[in-house]
Amino acid sequence: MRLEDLTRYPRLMVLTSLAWFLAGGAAGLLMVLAHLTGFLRIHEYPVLLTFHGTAMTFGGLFQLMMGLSLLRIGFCYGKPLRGLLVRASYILLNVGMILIAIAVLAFGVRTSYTLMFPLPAVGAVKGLWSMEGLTVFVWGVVLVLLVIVGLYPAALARLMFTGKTEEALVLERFMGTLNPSGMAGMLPYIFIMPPLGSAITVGAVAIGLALLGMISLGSIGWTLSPMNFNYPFWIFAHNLMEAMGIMAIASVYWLIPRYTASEEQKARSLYSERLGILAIVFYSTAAIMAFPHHLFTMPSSQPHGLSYVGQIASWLTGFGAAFSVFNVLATAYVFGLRLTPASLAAMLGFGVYVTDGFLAMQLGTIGWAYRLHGTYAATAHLMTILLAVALVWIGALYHSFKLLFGKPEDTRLAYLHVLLTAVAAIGLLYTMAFMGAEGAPRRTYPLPVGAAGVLPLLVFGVLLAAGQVAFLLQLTSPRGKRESR
Amino acid sequence: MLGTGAGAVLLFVYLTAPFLVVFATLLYLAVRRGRAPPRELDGSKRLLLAAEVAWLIAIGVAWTVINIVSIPWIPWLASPPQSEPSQVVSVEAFMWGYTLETYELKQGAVKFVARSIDTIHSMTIYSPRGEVIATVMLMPGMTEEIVVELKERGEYTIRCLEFCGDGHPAMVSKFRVV
Repeated sequence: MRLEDLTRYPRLMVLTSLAWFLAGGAAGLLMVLAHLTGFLRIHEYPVLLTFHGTAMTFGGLFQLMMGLSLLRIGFCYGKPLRGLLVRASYILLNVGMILIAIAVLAFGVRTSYTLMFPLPAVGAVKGLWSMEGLTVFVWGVVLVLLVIVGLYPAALARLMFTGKTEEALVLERFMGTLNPSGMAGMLPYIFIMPPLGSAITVGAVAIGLALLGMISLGSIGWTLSPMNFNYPFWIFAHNLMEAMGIMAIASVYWLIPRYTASEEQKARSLYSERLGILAIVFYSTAAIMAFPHHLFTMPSSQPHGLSYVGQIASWLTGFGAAFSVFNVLATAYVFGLRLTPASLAAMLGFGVYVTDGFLAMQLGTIGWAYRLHGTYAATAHLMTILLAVALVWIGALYHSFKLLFGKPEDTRLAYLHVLLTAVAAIGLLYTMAFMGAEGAPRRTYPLPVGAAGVLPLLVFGVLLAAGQVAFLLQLTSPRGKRESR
Repeated sequence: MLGTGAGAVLLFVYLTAPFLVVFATLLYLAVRRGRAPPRELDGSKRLLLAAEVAWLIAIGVAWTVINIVSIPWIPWLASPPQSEPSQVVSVEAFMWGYTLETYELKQGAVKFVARSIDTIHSMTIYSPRGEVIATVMLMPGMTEEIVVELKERGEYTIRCLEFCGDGHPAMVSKFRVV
């Protein structure tokens, strides 16, 4: 049994996610520059917007999470990361992303990463993009969905519940499923995402088959109805973000005890494992029914009762997060925290996540949604969640840096990476929140309102990019010779 | 004031600024304690329990206040059915514009009956001062009704805030309130 059996796919996933991050990030910077200079034509902006959103979220962040979570489960349970599920997850996610990138960049399918259904179909009918481009796009989406909803959770479950432990691969003794809570954060993904994502996956496959002429459009009328499509879409998309958030919180639960200073702390666990489990179970279950907040602003079509359920469930998720805040801070404070790039990234990512939670609470109310939905305030929330989760996984990446890359990290570059990313995340959050308050419409170019926020967006965007350049330098830095495996 | 975009961002700043200060302070103290000899790291259980209770109460109050103060701004609660406004305007949204039944309205409550004929749009109403006073998502096949109190005289703007294709930024209409 070789260590390479543990690290090959996670390393591939991390490096491939970096490529998507860089491409998507470049698109994001170009978008902000366009707001400042007006150099893009009107139809070019949504091309970049769609590429930016899909590349950063799925090619970048989801893939980073996939690689590092599989690595963690592998070295905690002593299971090699190979086999069909792991391989297919990596290959199909990236093939799907390449198809989406081709559809967006070559065929001009520009729908934003939330699809805005029925825009993909209407755009093809109106000649904004071709039916061929749409077919490539839909099959890209189908492949990505198959990984998110099926292959990746199945790979996690297989590693967690089946197979023999290879003692040589156990790098951190961390057995069990529900306890400790650092591992329990994977369970919501395993058990919640497949059922909640099945309907939208079936719908996407049906549309894909109809576009290939294998079944008639008439037979899939149910998927083409905007209301029928958007409910399965949002129950999936909302819970995917929540599941990624819960995975990140659980990673903080796992990482912080590993960097406490106290030698007395026998199992290197949280201040309160029970509170940790409670937070994860409470948060995951409340989050399931919070999704109607995406459709609050349909006062006649969405039943008011469903909106109330969405508001109350959103309110309850805030309590799940609040339990985590106390537990994480108490763990760090009581046992003392050793400052490393990994622990700092995990703490800052967690801090950014919770800060954004205050905005999420506002957007999760029906009343405020009627003032803020569709503005940059919503973008602030979405982008900050993704950046916060990314920061936590950056912490996990530095924790396993030597294992993955065979050399110790350059701590100066690592701190620079972490700090620049955190400062940029907070700066982007507040800038976009202020733009949203002004009524600046998201996904709009040129901006009719809120243009004053563009310069700070550029500054923080450049800081974010500089952070990732520091990581690139880290990877190419000669410091610490690569150890033979 | 609170029920506006500006109110939302102010409350956001008021709540997050102290949180960030406390978070940063505790992070600093945790790192400082991490450098101390292990025997000094025992925390007082009673103090921590008090901190836990205080934190949960504080956050419970913050979350509850955010939710409760927003209730009066829920459109269907702000305008109960018995106060049916005399002005009713139908709005049709399309790629990329709006057709309004009338472009001149009187001050007071107006019921907008809006629908989209092609893809998802929104009908977001900006007051003459540029403040968002209501936004409604329009999904094709559905009709949305919302009552909006038009308090100021002047020119109101309607914009689409749901991305709907190339003409999305130009999807704007205006009406006057006299």
